[in-house]
Amino acid sequence: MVMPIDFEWRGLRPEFVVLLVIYWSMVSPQYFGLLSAWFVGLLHDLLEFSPLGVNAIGMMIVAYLAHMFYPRIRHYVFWHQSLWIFMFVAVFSIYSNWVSSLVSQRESSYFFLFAALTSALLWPVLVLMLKSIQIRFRLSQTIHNNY
Amino acid sequence: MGVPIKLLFTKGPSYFSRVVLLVIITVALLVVGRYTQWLEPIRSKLDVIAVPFYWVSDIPERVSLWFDDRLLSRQEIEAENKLLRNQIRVQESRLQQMASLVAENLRLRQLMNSSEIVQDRVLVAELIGVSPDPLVHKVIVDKGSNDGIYVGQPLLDAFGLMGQVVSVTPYTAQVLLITDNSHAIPVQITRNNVRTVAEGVGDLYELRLRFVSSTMDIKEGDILVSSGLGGRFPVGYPVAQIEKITFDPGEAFATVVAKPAARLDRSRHVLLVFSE
Repeated sequence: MVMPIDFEWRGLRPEFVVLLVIYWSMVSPQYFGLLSAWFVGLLHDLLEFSPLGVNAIGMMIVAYLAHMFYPRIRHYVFWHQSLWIFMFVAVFSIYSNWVSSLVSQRESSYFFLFAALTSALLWPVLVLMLKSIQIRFRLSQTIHNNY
Repeated sequence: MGVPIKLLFTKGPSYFSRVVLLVIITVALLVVGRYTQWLEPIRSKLDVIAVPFYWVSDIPERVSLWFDDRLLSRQEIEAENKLLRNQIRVQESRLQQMASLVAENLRLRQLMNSSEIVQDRVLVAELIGVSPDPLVHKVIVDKGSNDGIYVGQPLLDAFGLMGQVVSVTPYTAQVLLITDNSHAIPVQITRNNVRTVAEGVGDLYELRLRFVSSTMDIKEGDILVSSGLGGRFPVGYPVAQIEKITFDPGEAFATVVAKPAARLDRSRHVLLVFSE
């Protein structure tokens, strides 16, 4: 999340927290609701020094999308899921870029969408990792689903 | 109480209305945070939460630095030692001149009845974090209010001015770099003392000068130092060097691009200046 990255490459940083939010809202929507996503976003605001609430709304949007589409997406194969993840993270990036442009911190190009790309590429790895954690600690009731 | 009866309407407020409620709360939070200072005290308390994250993410860097320090061959150390000695020799010879210059400067200032320039006290700090958002140019240093750091304090590296402290926790401080979009610093040109304002544009290697008219005496290669106007930054620290000037007859002002003197993306050891 806050791992130091070279300045030139900072645009490529995957939106790790967004991926986590998507994952948990798809795996256990009954426990990880919008309020949890909201709190995660608030914490993310603190870490990123952005105005309190920016990422909170963004995370909520993403969680809302994930809740809406999870019955469909979680039966897809990895690369197909990655496409959807790309869309979700792109929505998040566009939203946060829009908000930062309101407070006059604009990014001039569409370079910010690269973060969505790297996030989509990271998704399969992350799913495999989190799934093993989930099974290991018996975290969710929906283990025996496709997830 | 027995087995709970499954009621039809037990859900409370609907999903959608909950979303709307949360969004309204957040937007209110944003508006309050943007247009008032009410959230500042809470925010500076909450910033402590971020400290361990940055501390942990800095561990690999510290480990590699530790190895860099420990795993050195004898030849490398000898070479470095030689280099450093040479540097000290050169700098000492410059310092000798400096002493006489300082004395002269003082005398001239007394002649002109202007106030003396006091030596600034500095504190060495180390960078432990960089803002993950590419649009926000902030760094975190490992000294906080326990070390006497205060909001508004200037930060330097060995090459020039880096930025100013914008928020402190007991153990760390957030520093806004001079290249951040929301930052501007009053500067003057060393060649002729012309005063202007250097603004950040969100690029780590670039500053822009505002309101430079086409008649202003300014050249590529001019060195900008802090002018001390505004009372926030001390006088005379190098800020940037003019890189490119474009006069467009259609525009009211020239576009002047300057390159920051400080190594904003590379310096790890920085100095905090106590200017009072």
